[in-house]
Amino acid sequence: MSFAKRVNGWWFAPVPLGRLAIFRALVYGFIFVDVLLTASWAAKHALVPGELYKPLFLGRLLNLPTPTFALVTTVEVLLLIAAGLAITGRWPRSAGIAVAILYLEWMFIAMSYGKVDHDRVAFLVALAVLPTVGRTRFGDETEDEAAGWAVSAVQVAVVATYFLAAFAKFRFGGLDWVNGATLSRAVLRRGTFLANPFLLENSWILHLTQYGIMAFELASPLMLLRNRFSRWFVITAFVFHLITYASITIIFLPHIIALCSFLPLERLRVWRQPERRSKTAAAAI
Amino acid sequence: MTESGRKRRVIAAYLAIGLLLVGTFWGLDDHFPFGPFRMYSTKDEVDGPVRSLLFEGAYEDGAPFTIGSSSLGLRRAEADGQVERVREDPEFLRHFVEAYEAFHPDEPPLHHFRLFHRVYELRDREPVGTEDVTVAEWSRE
Repeated sequence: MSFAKRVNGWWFAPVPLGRLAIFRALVYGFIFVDVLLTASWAAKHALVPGELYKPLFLGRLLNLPTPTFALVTTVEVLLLIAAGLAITGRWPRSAGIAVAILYLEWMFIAMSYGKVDHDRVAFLVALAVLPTVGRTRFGDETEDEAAGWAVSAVQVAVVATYFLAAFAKFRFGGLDWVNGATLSRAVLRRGTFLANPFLLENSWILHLTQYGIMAFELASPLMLLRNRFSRWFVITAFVFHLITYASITIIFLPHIIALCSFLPLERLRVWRQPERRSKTAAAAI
Repeated sequence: MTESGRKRRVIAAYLAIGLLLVGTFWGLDDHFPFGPFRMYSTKDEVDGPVRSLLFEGAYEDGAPFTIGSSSLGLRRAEADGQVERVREDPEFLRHFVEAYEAFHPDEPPLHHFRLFHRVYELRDREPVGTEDVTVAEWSRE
């Protein structure tokens, strides 16, 4: 098979619609967690004086309004309603598109006050591609190419986040970023009791970890191989994020939701018996 | 899937990858969501300062107390991202005071507000001393 054909086959490798149904529930369900709990700081911008607003390039290009109490609250309420509708899975396209647009506006409200987060791209890709797949049901074993492409797109975005982060380190930190004190600084500023003072007193561990991070990021495209090795790589990624959280309380939650696109989610059948629809019956619908 | 549906998906995917590549090498945070993935990308010298931004406020005739950035409706890194504006125009600090008051409507007005860096000196990656350096101060007229 030619290389181009194999790449094409990779992008569209069919996955069960049941996996996408669970991934959908996870993504749209996470919006509630994100907006109301883990990133509830974004809603606080409703009360911050407009002078502190620093619009981003796309915000200026699209002439997005300076956030006010009314705007932030309206976007928040509409976003949660749309996410609630999208979770039901009844209107995968219209509700999904509404969520994608409202969440993007929510991001511009969140990121336009002096700090841009770098853990959202894969999640934004997930929101963008989910509406391209039609209706899905839990337990549906029908293999679908459109679902396969959506999963592939999210996986590539996850890998891009790691892989391109290595080049950002070269660009902003220099080729010898690995020999700097970046992690010492991180632990100093926000280390937990697990990290401070132990890791600061044994700073060789932090030095070595910087090499580990660089190696992990540069090797991350191997996650896309879809074999035994790549599954271990995915597990390593989850562990890496947990250790980061334990030591400096930073966790890239939206990114971790996107990382779940690597998991065979359809095997989760805790809340419902699998529907044993035959493949021919599903194809006839 | 139709052939055109397949084509559109391929084009969309490579377009997004292309934009992310351009963003990584030439973009800035400003180009969100296509900017570079800069998390912890800067390099701190193993011998040198690490700055931590802090706020301090005081009521009339009161002792100064520490204010967390979240009391201003900002994350710590957002406050960091506003420091340049304060350096360029120290008067800008009054918007921080307005932010504090918006989140604490029942408290008496602030009469003094200070933005300062706690500077940790590193030697061989380990902290050996600290010093506070004021960035800007504001007092009610």
